[in-house]
Amino acid sequence: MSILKKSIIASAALALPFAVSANSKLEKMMKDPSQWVQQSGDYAGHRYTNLDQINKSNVGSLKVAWTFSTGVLRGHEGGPLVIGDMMYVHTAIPNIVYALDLNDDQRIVWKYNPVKGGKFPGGETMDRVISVMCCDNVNRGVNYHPNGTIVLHAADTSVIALDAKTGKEKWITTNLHAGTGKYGVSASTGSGQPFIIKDTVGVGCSGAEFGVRCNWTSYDINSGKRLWRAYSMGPDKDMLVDPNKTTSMLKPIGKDSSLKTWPGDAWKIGGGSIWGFYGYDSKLNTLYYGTGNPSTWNPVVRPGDNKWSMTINARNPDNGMAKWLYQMTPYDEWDYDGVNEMILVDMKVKGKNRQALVHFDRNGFAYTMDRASGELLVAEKYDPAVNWATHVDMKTGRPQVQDRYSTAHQGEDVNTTNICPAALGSKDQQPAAYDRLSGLFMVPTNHVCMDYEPFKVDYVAGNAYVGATLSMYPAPGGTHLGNMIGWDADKGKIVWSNEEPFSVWSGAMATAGGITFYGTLEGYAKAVESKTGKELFKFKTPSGIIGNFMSYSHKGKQYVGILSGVGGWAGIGLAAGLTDPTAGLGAVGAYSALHNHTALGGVLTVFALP
Amino acid sequence: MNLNFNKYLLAIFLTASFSAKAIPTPEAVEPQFDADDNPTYIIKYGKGDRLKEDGTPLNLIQIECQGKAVDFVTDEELDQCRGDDSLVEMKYGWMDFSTYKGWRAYHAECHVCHGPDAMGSTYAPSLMVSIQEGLSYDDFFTVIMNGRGEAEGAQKGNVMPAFGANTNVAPHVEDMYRYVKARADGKIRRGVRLPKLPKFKEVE
Ligand code: HEC
Repeated sequence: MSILKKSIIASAALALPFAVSANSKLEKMMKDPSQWVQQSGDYAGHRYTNLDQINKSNVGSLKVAWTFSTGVLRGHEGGPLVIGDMMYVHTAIPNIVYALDLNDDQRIVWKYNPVKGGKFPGGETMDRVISVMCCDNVNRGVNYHPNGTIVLHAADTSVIALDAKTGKEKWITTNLHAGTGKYGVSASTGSGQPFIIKDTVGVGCSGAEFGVRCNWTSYDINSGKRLWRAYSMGPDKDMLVDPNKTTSMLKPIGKDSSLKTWPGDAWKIGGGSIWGFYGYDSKLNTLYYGTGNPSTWNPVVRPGDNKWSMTINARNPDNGMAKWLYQMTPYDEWDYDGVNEMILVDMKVKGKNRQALVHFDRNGFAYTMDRASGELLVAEKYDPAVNWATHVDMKTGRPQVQDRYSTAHQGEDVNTTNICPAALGSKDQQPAAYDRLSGLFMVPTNHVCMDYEPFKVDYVAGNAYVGATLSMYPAPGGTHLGNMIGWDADKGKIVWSNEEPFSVWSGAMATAGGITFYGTLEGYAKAVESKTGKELFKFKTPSGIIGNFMSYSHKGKQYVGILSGVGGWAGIGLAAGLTDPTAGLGAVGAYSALHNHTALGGVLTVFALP
Repeated sequence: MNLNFNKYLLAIFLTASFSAKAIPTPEAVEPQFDADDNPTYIIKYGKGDRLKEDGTPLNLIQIECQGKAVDFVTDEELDQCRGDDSLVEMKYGWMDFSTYKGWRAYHAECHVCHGPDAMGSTYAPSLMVSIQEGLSYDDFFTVIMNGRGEAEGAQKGNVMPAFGANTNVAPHVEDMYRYVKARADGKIRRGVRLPKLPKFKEVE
């Protein structure tokens, strides 16, 4: 502990002088709308571009400017970056990165493939890594550091720093272990973006379905040296919390806040993965991320709140110490991972100016928090179908769970039916956008319910550790599986809602042109008016879209880019459709099966005005 | 490949019951084998199920349109059935316990890759279709135990993990086969939502 602490302090102190300048340089680049320098566009996660050449009145005539095949079939999440005249495009496993020269007809300047001789840098075979990815071979994109580095978080958890100009490896560190080698048995994988703050890069981890105890780990961007690691659960020192200073619902969390909420040693295989989209506030010097489900999916074997799974974390990025924590779904019984993106907005909430954090959770509630203090301000359902809890008690912050939808209350070997939302949540990783013009949030959502039957399973290290069986179907009263909505985060109300036949699994982007882009699983790239949701443009791309929209300008012209390549959990769950064609032989959704509409294949499509 | 699956097996049958809300008494039955000594599913149809408050039975197991499982009819046939109720037949009943366990194991361990209801995904093949196309029980068993990677001929980027050491899967391969075969044969509709089974005992 003491050694760890010393090295944290030492490296934080060393990093400081550079830190400030690197940070402000990156933030300055984020403000330049001709580039897209970070997966979310900026630290606040607005996914908003100030470019307005493409706008409400002309988006209808948008045309494809150019396309690029990634050469990889599986699901493509995340999106490309544009730094200066270069575009960086990543792929699903094997996690290839391409650098394309925008000045030279998108010529491939370099191509980097971390898999050599069938093995990832950490030494695991590609087969092993794929077999322990829970939900397809996705990767949520690379990020950029202004010292000229592109960072890739590969599927085997390797963090790889590449020279942005040449694609040469600067350093590689394998964060965790995906295999059964000399480090013991684990099945950790990497799918989340690497997150750049000052002169550090931080990564989360995936593997809650395999009994992994996940963590956030921060590395020095210049050397790849590990700076700190904060576990999602366990002893206070593992989690980097201060029992007296770290708060939750404005009160100190106290000693052993996590250990007390797990039976015995269950926290050691407690899950709490981190793989969504994160936020950073440089003025408050605070990093925001969410943790995922406790494992297993059978709640009966882990009575207690299972802290700090399902939690929004606010941490000091210099040393990892937690400032505040808020657990959205204590004692998860449905797999409602708390990993979704953190959107930082300064806005009026209930008449008061707030430094707010807005988070659309898998559990179907949209939370508005004070991001400085961790105070809970608003918690409302953003899909009326949500039924597992009636509401969130604003005093305690706890959801009021309905017994009939509680899989723990109903018990092991009981099929608890008609729970909304399904395990994939009212929204999964697909990030929302913030429209700075209307002040609305543009939220891609799922509209799916489920039956869930927990049962006893053995923990076999390195193997899936699930312990529940579930079936999913459209929410009652319809056959559509998704909605694109406009959300008012002050009032906690839906302003507009567009039905989509499938879950909307792509990240949205709002623009100064008054429009919002999003993609659909059948492959449509769509533009709607941000204020009203009115559809203004659609184009069918080569494959279903689970990637995120981005925009840049080159030689004075605005471009909008999107990766298609169906897959991810959505592709898995919905490929065969969820609409039971037999359901009373009633209105059978014409869209029941995704595979009637689209097939695999990673392709980047870039649009511009003619 | 006849594993000792008697241990896992207890089929539950429902015989017609005339009192509206009576809970049927499960009965043990012998598992059945096909000509190659492979296990087969056992499902019995009957009308006297547990009833919901509105009088409809809880466990609708299959809907047939013109004598075929709705999974397998053409859009045209489906349209005809929508227009004419007399072409439609609802089948109610119980799954035997082994099929039920297979359903449960499948949706816990396999559906994340193979899709709900054994229907396939963007990632892995529909096992229902694999069996329809002749995948034998032996091959089913071998692939699950040993897995299949690129070296064994899987499509690039596809991996079927080995479950031989997974104690949540290995003992239930026959159960899962029974479930998937029942789907392949049109005996169980997709998304079948099983009500809680009456308490039963496993017979050793
Ligand atoms: C990590 C994803 C994954 C999981 C989990 C998984 N499978 Fe597979 N499985 C695959 C893939 C991919 C293939 C196809 C490999 C190929 O291309 O030949 C496959 C192939 C198979 C095959 C052979 C099909 C054929 O037509 O040859 C069987 C049988 C099978 N799986 C059964 C199962 C069962 C039963 C389970 C659950 C215990 C399961 N799988 C879990 C990915 C998976």
